Amino acid sequence: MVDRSPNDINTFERRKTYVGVVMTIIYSIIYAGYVAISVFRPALTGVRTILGLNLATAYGIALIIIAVALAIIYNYLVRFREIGASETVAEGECE
Amino acid sequence: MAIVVFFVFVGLILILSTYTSRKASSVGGYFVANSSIHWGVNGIAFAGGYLSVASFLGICGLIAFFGYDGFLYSIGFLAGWVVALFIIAEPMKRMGTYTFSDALNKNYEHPGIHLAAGISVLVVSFFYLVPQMVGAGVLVEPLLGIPHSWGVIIVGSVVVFIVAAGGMTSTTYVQFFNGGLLLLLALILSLAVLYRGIDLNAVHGEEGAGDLGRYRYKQIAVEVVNDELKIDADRVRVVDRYVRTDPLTGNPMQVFYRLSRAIPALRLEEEDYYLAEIKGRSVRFNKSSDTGVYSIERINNQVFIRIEDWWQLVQDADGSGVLTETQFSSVLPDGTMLINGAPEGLENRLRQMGGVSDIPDEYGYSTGPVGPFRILSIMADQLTTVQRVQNASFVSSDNQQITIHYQEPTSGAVFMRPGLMFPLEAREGESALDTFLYRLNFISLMLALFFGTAALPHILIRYYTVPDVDAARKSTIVAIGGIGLFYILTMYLGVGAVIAGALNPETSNMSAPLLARSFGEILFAIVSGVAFTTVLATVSGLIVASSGAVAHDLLGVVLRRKASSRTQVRVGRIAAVGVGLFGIMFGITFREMNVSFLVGWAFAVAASANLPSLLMMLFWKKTTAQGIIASILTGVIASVTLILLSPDMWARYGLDPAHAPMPLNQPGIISIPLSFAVLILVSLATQKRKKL
Repeated sequence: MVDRSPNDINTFERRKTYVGVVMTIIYSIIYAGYVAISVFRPALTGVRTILGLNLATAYGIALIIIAVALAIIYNYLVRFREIGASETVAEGECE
Repeated sequence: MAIVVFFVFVGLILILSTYTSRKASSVGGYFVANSSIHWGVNGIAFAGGYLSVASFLGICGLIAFFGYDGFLYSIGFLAGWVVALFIIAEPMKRMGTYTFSDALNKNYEHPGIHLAAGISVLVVSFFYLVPQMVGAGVLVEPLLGIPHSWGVIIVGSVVVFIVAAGGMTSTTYVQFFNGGLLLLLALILSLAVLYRGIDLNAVHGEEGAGDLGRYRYKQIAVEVVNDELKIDADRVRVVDRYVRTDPLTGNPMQVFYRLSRAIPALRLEEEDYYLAEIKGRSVRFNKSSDTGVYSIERINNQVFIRIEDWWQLVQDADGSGVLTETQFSSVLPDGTMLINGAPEGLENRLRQMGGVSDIPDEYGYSTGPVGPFRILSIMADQLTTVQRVQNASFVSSDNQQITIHYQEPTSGAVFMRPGLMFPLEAREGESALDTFLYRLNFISLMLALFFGTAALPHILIRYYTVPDVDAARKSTIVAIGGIGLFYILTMYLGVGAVIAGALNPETSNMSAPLLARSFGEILFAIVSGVAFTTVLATVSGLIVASSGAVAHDLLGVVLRRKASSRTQVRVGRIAAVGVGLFGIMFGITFREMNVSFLVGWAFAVAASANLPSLLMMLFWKKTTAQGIIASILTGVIASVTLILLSPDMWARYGLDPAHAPMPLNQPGIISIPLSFAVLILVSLATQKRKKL
């Protein structure tokens, strides 16, 4: 583990927060789409989609799977940036 | 069998709690398990604490009774975790120590924040605690054959022991144990549902006896002339009639008739006792107590019991119709309880209802084992008919309190999409305002579920039980994976319960255990045991959060200084006992309400009280301590007031829900923006004071 300066930590935390906010917005849009269809176009929810599932079921299950997928992607991105930040600091120290 | 398994589970929990309680003498040990929990264990414990009876019993019950609308809770409950992971988890860990008010107060050092946050934690925990207690009572009643209230008292006592003795360490391992078991069991049950498929002729064991066989409700052809029935059947006459109208439109929805009819009976060797079949159950009648409720008649040397029971009329346009038998309970003016027209007893109780009565022709009478997508596809087919369980309560002409349980044939295409619980499509005769309010209610609930998870106190404190920010994030991801899998499985549990006809008409909360019973007593016992540990796990988390709020947040404000470690732990233990007693009291009062529905309110209060301040503190630099305090208090007061004035509470007070001052049952859509607005306004108004 490499010690990082407060500036590096702040930059890293800001980037992490940025990734988190972007992902929240992406998921919120998908979630809002689901709520909007249920409220304003309820008849659409009965339309058959993939695997014989109606739109309501397919969208609902997709929302759960997407949440899990985004969580895994977030962890990968954050760890990737964490390692990147550590390496940058390490290089700086060598100089 | 069920009792043995139940006590084995409770015994294991108590041993686990006692074993882990040694680490709970310090503040860090008692409230946050010394921040030493592994992220994997913490993740499953997150799932164990979060997947409460609302998820396990409540959602399964809602899906079984209302179809797809129950699944909306699954989606909302999980979606909130996205906010928890991406926005809240890491800052909470970085900024806090014991409670979430530590994080809120990190930049302000204002005692008012501890006070407001402490109050908010207690209120949210209360709203979350009550449904858990209700669920405990519902479970224990059929399992141990003891009254609902005793179930609530047992849970309350065991949980208070767990928390008072072992604090967060015990709670963590109880939640971990429960989370793992719950996921495994949901998977096993779902696979069993898929293997069984849909069989229209299947007979499954049910409450009371395993060999009752399938009961087909009787039908009588009738002719209707000016609301008068002409019945072509012997020894039958009409004694009462009830028309159920749509509260919105005033249109008649269902018509029920009370018939007096004589059913064949058999005289037993035991003197004065007769045996007759009521809804497929053999019920004993005592000649000496036949006054009023039933009578014994002898016609042509044959013995009959004359009872009065309620039938539903389904009428055609030409005046012909069919009376279909229902189940019902009635309370006579003197307090006597009757089930299906005969005295209530172990041999005479309501039978399970529900089922699937038609599937597309290509499957014949049975689908055999089916895949996970195929079963949902068949259930959503236009040609599938689901027998939904419906209830109608009213007072009869002779002052009996009647509750009729009847089955309503519903197309699979309707059952498997939104609308049965939240009527989002405008119905005939419904005003535009009512349609708007229904839709607003739905949006309000989905908003509260989305924003509520990340603000639940028993979830927030779990960020402090791990050593660092990285572990907080990883444990949240494990939680999302486990909880996501569980919520997908709830669909199979709910649908499985309705396919098996395993619905207790009195309470939707028993659907999952009764589904398990349809596979055998052992699975029923295990499911009930796990459901009980689910209550223990969630309630213990809530009580730790509440006792932390009292000992860490409120005590410091009252004493005007930080209390010693020993005092905090002692006060925490006393608070755990106090909160447990409150939970017991209200768990008994709210017995009939669906637990998921009640939990929806807890989410609304949490989302209104806690989330605005958490988000704004992180993302708006102008946020002030005064703004945070005002926002929390506004969120608590507004959401609780709106709930107390809602139509559902109006009905609970015995008043007409249509006249409730607040037209929505879900307050989130008003109280969440209000809490944000108050924070912004108060923060802007206190900027100068801050600079001074």
